[in-house]
Amino acid sequence: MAAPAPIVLALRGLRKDRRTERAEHYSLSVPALDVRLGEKILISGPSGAGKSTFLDMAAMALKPDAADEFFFFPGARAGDGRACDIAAAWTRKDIERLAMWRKHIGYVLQTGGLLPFLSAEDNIRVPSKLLGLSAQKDKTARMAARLKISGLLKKFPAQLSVGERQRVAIARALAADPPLVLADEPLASLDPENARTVLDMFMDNIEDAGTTLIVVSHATDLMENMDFRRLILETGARDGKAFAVLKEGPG
Amino acid sequence: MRSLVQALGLALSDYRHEALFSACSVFVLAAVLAPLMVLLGVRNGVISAMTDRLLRDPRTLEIIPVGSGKYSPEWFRELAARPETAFVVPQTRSIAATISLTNPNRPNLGLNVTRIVATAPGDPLLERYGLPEAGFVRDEKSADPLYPAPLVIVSASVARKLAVPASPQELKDPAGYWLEGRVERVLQGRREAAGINLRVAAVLPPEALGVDAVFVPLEALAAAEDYRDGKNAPLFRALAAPRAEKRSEKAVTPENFEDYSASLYREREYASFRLYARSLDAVEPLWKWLAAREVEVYVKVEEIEAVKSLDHAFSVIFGLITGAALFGFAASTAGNALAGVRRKSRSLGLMRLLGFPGAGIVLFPVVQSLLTAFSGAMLADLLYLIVAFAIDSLFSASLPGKAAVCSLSPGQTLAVFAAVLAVSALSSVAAARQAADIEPSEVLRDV
Repeated sequence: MAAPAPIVLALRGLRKDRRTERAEHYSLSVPALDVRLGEKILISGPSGAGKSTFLDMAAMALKPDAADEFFFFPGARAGDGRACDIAAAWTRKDIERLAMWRKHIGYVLQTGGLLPFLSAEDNIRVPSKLLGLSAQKDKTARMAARLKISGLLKKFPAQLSVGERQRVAIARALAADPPLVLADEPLASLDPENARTVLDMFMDNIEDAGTTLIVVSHATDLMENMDFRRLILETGARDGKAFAVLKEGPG
Repeated sequence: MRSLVQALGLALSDYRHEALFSACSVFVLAAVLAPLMVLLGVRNGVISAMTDRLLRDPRTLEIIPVGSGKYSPEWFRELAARPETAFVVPQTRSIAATISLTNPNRPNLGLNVTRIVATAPGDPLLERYGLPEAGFVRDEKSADPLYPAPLVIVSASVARKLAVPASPQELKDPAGYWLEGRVERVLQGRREAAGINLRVAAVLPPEALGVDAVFVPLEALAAAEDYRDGKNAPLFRALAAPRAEKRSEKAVTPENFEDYSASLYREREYASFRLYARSLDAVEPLWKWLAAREVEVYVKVEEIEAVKSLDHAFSVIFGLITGAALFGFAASTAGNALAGVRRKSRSLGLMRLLGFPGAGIVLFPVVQSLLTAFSGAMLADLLYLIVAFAIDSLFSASLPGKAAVCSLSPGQTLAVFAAVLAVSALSSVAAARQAADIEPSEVLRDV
């Protein structure tokens, strides 16, 4: 039997408190989570449960209020086991180091994650250039062909439809071959037909690249037949405080 | 480094993408800056030319000795070496410093008593009116000249009374314009006279000096005094057969004329001097220095005070206007930079999320700000040049001399550019640092 794939993301005792309109206090916690290279994870849960909050923390774009362990392994794919201690970096307010580590994560936002002043092609190239990767032209062209955006590469985001923008955003998240891709409701702003197409293309590329994916979506029916590890953000209330806990889902 | 270059590229892309907005910022900056530059140009040109003329008017800066004294070469050297001294030249006793002048072309015109005034290179009175220096030329009017003839500058009244043409063109004629000078003495009961040919180099304007005077090299003045004192005097030739002169000192001959010239500054004592201070502020220390040596002088205190208070008033008024304009410029530039950063906070947050370093996030608006500042300053400079040209062609005819009405030196233009770039850079850095410090998640979802 083959050895299990290396771990990309390891979390213990992660917590984020925040105020919401509904409750004075709201607390999101992740007791324990290990994500292995190549895994495809779907996080579901009710609106406002904190799915995006969790992704932002995983993307190092939001500071957790507590974290016993929070490690990212950017070199997991190349067999490089060096860990990035995200919890420690936040504690030290070492935001420059966090920005550097973020280059190794692809993040697809629900909408509008593109830089408005760059063409689709230039948007896609930003992460590769940041990592100093050259000779990405072929790869960009191949990915664009697969996402059916080859004819749109010279256009600016404002000239693209929402679905086209999402495909460009996906291409950008994957362009630099990151070991971990996060996607926050990537289909939410699309009509069902478009959503289906974009999802298929997205998953094709994920499979092709062998990348780890954590996707947050409540459009779970679209992903019914796909091979996801399912996590659920369970909500509840205790002593007048709302809380949400990330747990393994069924199956 | 790579990511900074990339951030720079993105900043330029954004600037180009928002061409209209960028152009507006450039126009706004130019609109604030161009009037400021015109203001500085006018202050620089006409106002400073006016105050400068007042401040450096030789008539105000002149320190005039009262009575006569005995001033040694050392005394002159010490005075000339003082930083407050702009110009000093020895002057002989006023009783000996006169000459009669006639115009050989107009025998009926003559002047009996004309003051002889010593001048030298750097004479502020002559420089002020752009006149040539006095000196010596070949004596064209003498059949066998022993000595060169003095090249002189005459006052306007002398020119008028002797019908000397006042225009430089006529005086520049190779033949030259010549006057005959005559000095008399009584030696051992006999009246004697000596003559000298003087070539007129220039005529002082009437406002420069209101009396009959001829400005000559010190040699000519000293020679006139020597002649009057009954000594052997160079430059002058006897008009009647002279008696053998009783002298103990060595005779001055054409061969040792240069030694004579040198001795005038090395050995001779003088009864008076012509002295000009370097600036209005230098008048008082010079006056005190002279007073400490018991030299009584006349100083134009009232004129000096009037000029100083006028200059002060101009400085204050322009200082205030310029200050207000500078404040407006700084406020608009800073406001522009801050608004730019706020407006772009989402893009900057996205760049942060993609992993750009803080320095790159700061660089982004700073580069754009600098680009706006530079283009705005260029445009303002262009507007300024057009306005300055218009002002100059409209008004320069009404100003004396060739002074520009509106002018900025290259150094001042550079200083304006540097100030614009510095204010822009500083204000956008302040704004951009905030942008670099925010967590990306704060701006990602606020659409």
